[in-house]
Amino acid sequence: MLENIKMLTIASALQRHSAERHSVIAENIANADTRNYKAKDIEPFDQAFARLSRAGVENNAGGAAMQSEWRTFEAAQLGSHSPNGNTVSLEEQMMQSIEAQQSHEAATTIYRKAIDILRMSLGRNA
Amino acid sequence: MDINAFNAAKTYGAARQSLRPELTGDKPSSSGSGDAFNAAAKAVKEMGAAVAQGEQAASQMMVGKADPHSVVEALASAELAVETAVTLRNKVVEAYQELIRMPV
Amino acid sequence: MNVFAKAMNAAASGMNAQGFRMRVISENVANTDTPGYQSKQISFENTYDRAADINKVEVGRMTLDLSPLQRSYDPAHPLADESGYVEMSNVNMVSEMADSREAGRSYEANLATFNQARTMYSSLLDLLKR
Repeated sequence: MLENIKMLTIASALQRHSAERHSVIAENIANADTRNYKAKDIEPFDQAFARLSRAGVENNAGGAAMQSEWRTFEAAQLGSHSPNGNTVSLEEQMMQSIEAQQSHEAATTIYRKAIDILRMSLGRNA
Repeated sequence: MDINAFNAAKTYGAARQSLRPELTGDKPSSSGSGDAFNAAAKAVKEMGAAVAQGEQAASQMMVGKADPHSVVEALASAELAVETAVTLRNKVVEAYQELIRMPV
Repeated sequence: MNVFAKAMNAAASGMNAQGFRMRVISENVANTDTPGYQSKQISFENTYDRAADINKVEVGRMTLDLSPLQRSYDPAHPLADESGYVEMSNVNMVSEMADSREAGRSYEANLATFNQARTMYSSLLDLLKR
């Protein structure tokens, strides 16, 4: 029922994306001292969303395509190669994890607001 | 929509039936005063589907299988659908009572 | 396994590994003055946990530091050889301290991501409260 509301679809896709990104970053941080580990990242949300909504339109699936089909790749980390071949920069990863957390928070807030607005349309105090 | 007490009573009966999910067919549409009841019946159907989905998602999550995002979405959707159905029902009942009290 | 559990699992494996590293470092530091002690070294390995679908970190094989032991002149020592030298440990205090700092820092980073995942999960569940 709620899949037809675009705002909710985008908010929920963003939630999934940032949760997924956060878990990739958690893996990077866990492997911050592992030999030859290459830091990973997930494709940016705008690209992923455009790709998935194109796919959704083609398959006529609407919002159903938004089920965490995110592409992971090795991140290009600038100038942080340590001698043991590890490319994780702890500071950079901390920044990114906070970014992911904040966008998740934003998506959650938007989702809640959208639900509140719908509820308000039913004529009671939300 | 023709307004008379008899018709209202009849449609109220139809609405009552349509609020019971197992009886929800496309019947109310044939009972004359269509639109509002069609909408109500549709809301009820959606409510049934959304509640079932929410239930399924929640039970899957509790055994540790489902993704929490889907669960939250399904439950929020179920909640909203039930609220919509309840609001519609209240409106129908209200309208019926108003008609019943109308001096003939 | 859901995304938050994945993140928390990865972070927990990181904390586990860094905790183990800290243990080895403190063993080394504690044995600085043990004659003949060779300092232990560990390396981390990235393992893919198939069940949970995450890249965990695990402690690899522990190796001994084979660099020569420090010789100090102490003829009164019971373990002194004919020329009066005692072979002490080969623990390098400076690198052990640096290592312990790094372990602590990485542990904190893992803890921070763990807490973030927890906060994200609970804020998601807050959607269901009014």
